[in-house]
Amino acid sequence: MSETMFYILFALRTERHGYGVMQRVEELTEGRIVLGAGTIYTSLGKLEADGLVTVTSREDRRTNYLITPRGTEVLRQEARRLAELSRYAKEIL
Amino acid sequence: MSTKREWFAAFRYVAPADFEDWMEAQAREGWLLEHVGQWSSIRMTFQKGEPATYRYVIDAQVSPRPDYLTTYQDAGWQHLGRMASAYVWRRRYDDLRPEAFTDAETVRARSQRFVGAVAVAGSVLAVGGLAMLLASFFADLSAGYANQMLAAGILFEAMAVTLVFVAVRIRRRRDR
Repeated sequence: MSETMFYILFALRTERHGYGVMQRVEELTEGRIVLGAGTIYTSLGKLEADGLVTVTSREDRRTNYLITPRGTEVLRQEARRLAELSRYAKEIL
Repeated sequence: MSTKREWFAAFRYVAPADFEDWMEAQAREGWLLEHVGQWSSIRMTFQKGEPATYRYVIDAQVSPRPDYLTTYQDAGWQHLGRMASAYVWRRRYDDLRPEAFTDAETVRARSQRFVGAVAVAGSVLAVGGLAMLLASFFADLSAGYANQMLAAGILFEAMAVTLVFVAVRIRRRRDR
């Protein structure tokens, strides 16, 4: 899973629209990752097609998304993988 | 207010990043693109104004979801219009050049959408041209009409071959 997808899924543990996800990811990474509008739109479409996020509502031409149970499980698996990497990385620091 | 027209710009700068860079260079010289329409790939009109730094983005979307426009607009992009399925956006900037596609995966996906659109157009032209060529040889047509069909078939096939080169060029520059 790419870093972009990880952060988008992480941000969507709370219901958000596309721009809301962009803002949350920028906040989480303290400005290190600023997602582009095309990237967030494309990524949300892919995640929805893969069943990892779902559309919860539409208002004023904004669509709200939320992570699905399957998306949560995929996110957890990735978090476990990253934690393992981090554990071994610490050994060499 | 003076204006200038550019002909076939979308065919001269076929890779999305090249087209964007060209529009950005126009804006730096004070030639501003204020509107894009269905025929802008053939004739594009620029208006003279103050030189400005605009980041332009072109994005192929055949049937965008309802939140496509708002996602870009919320992020500060101005929608200039669309040429067929290609949406054109711009955003003014001072220091950091804004990007609409910020990871390798979606940059490639954007290029791939253009390759797909070109491939569909090329296929339609190739099939149409082939039908005309076959008709010019085998159908029961008058000599004059058969020659017209032959000429049209050759033109369609030439355009299809051109689109193959366009697709190859976009694909070669898919990481931009």
